[in-house]
Amino acid sequence: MESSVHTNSIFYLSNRSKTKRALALSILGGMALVALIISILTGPVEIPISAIWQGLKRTLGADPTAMSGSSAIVSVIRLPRVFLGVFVGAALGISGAALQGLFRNPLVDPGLIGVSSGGALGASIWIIFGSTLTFIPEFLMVFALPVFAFLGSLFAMVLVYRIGFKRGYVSVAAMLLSGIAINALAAAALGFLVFMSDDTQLRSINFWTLGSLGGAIWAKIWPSMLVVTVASTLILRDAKNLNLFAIGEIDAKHLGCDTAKLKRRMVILPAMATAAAVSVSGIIGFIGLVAPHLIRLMVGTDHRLVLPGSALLGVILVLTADILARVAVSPAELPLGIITSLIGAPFFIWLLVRYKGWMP
Amino acid sequence: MSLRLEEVHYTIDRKKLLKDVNISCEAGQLSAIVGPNGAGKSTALKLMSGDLAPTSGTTLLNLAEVSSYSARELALRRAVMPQQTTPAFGLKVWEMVQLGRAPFAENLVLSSEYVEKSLRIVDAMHLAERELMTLSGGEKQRILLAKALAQVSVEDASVSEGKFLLLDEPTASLDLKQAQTVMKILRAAADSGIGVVVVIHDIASVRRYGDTVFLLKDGGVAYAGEPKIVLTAERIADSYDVDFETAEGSISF
Repeated sequence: MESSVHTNSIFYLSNRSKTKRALALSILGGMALVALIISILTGPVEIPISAIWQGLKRTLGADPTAMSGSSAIVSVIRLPRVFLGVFVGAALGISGAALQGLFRNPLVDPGLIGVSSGGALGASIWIIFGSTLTFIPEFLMVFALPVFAFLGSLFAMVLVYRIGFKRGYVSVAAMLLSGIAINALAAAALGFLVFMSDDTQLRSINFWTLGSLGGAIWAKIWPSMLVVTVASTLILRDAKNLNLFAIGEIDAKHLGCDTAKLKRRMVILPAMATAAAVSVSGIIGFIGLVAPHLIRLMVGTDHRLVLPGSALLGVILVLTADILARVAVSPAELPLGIITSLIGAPFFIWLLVRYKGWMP
Repeated sequence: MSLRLEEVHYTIDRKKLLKDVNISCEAGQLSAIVGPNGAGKSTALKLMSGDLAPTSGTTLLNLAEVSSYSARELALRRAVMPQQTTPAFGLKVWEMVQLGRAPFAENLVLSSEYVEKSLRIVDAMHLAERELMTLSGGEKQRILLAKALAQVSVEDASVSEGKFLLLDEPTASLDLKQAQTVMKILRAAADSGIGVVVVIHDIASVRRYGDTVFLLKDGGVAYAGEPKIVLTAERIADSYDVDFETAEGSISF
């Protein structure tokens, strides 16, 4: 008799975890949708909810007759901004979760280890010298900014990886120190840009360091949206491998995970997603740290749940912060990065205190 | 159905850790590798698990070179029980054991069955819901053993070849009773058809539970064969460089 009770309990456990997974993800999805709608409705001009649908149709070119003022605002101003927020939030959330999995440490964030500012560095190099590269064909130019950002992020990522990984073990101190170095380098490059620039350029450079979803237009953001989609999908496919990797590199190998290839993917893909986000929104800090951590508190440590959950929570956090940025000092607009750092930095301090026993 | 080192040499940093080693472990048997510290026991086990590649010679799993298997193909045929574990993020006991089924493409219900069976074998069903890192050292060892057992369960017929379970000093940090329990579990695993290969210091346990023993000294196999015949007090005294009384003490209970 005892046996059957136990059997049920294990089945129950597993099946419940599956249900829990579906439930948690739907709740997060619902919350993201609500944040999305509120975000579209937020702004100096009040618009009716029905305008969202008309604006969407107009954007997709399905209904050219929907030409009211509200739908135009939705289609041209609000929707690009909100969609940018969705893709930036998802990219930062999932990258944070993937990097924490790679470094087997919950204190990792694309910003802290320099992957974000590496992207900003790459993007700023393109801004300074890009006009001289006249050999690039016109149709590839839209990808130039994300590509340069990616090269910068990848450079940072490879550096952190090389310095942080020693014989299969991760040195958190080395990792964070190399992050400091990359951040300093990026700050210098951005400082140089500031020095070179006129007043209008200065404003756009500010955007890099403080982060913003403002000024998003479809023509600028679609390449990044594409890159984020591809990178995130590929990261999601490694959820099971990251679960194995979490118990140790050699143990993961013994359980059939090709760890060398996994590590290569987890270096490249988060760099891709982060760079794509940074190239259109500037540096928005701490989303990649906060989202995976809160998700783990909610649903446990299974990456099949943590990865999509972090993406969704990243969306919720970025959209909410963006709404705050717009209403806090309305009609002016706070840079988004200020708000995420204002919330994220104390969170990081709390984590440091909580996990101080973990650090060598 | 065997796991073999054939004429294996292993050299690293010009140090010859293994010299012309021949070890053959059969499925369904409990094979022990014993010897003094630094004799090359762990190195031999790492070669058998595929973690290391021999400098010369071959490692054969079911008559195919270990290096010819992919990581997953190896994982379907052999499990390695780690000496300790430090998961990066929190993990429930049953989640940990379930990772042992990761190499297999099977549904959750089926893998749950293996989890349950393995937990029952190590008598840890009552720990299933516990957070792994809150367990005592001995309990953690048992969970790691359950995970490895789940991986090589012979009831799983998806791989019909011999399956092997490799363990490096599984009883090192355990008290007498727990060590005995582990040895009994390994004996039962071997009887069920698994090839168990264990690196171990406890000579008396090898004599009691083992089928075959390989006594390593200075990177070579000094003696091999049936434990009760091979592991005599004289040979122990000689191999370990201890006096006769100590050697005699180590082989009796």
